Amino acid sequence: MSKEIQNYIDTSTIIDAIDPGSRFHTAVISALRQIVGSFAFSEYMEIELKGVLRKSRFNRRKDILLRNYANLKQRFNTTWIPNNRDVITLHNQSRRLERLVRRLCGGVRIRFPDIVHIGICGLKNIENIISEDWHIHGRNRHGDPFIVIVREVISQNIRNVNNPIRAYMCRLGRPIRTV
Amino acid sequence: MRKSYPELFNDLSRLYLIRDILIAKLADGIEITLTEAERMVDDMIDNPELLDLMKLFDEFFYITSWYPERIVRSYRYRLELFVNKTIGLAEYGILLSLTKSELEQKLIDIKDRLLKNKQIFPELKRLIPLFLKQFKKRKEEHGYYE
Repeated sequence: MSKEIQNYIDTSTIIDAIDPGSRFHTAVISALRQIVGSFAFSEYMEIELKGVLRKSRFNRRKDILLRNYANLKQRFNTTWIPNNRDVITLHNQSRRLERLVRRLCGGVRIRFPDIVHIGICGLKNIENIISEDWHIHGRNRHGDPFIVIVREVISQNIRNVNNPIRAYMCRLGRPIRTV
Repeated sequence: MRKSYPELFNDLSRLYLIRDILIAKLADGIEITLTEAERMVDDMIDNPELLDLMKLFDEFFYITSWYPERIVRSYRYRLELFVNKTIGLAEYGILLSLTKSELEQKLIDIKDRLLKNKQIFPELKRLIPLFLKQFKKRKEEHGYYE
């Protein structure tokens, strides 16, 4: 029996998907519909999303956008990743790894929450990460993908992880594989 | 015993972060909206002076950028800066893993602790923007902190 593919969605993609005022909204929703497999939403990402909705230009529409997010969660086949001990350990250790990751990425300012989001995919064996943020789906000047560098650093310093192996972005209306 | 200003500032930051996490945990988008969750948590704090101080922290976090990915990056940067300079990442991690009732209890404990030093709230109101200004080492480039 083949294993179902799991996809993790990052906060920036979620915002495009729930905000009808975004010029990428239709394209992202259309791309998410084309993605095969189930989606994983994490409590870590959700707390970040709610913080962003309250502390930015979305503040006036935060209730509508959060309702859209709740509907999105119901519409897609989603699994839930709570902030358990593994995630919190990853969160605590990521700060220590931030400098090493930045050096390996050629000075790119990867923040520790980026490492946590990529690390959650590793902990839960999620193969695909979907993000519009270049700091997650991008590559350094040598062509090495950031997700691979972060995965290796987590494997060497916290726990051996094999995922994520692919990164996608959705703004062009179909899932574009960047790694 | 009267506490020092940095200690009180740290307690206020702790209260602010707990308030944020509790609002995020209470709001589900359908039964409880973010506005309702904010009102519920503010009712728990139930002190106009403390709520005024909380609003000063909101100004530090408010992001004016237009693009979602930049907003997320700015938020990550400012949260990292704020947590590192105040309560530390380990304690923030613990707060993230607490349940709603545990967070509520913690919120009430810290609120009571702060209210014992109520007389220096006006002075704190003057000092908080100065403390927060020191956090911003680099200038905002291209409309966001990167």
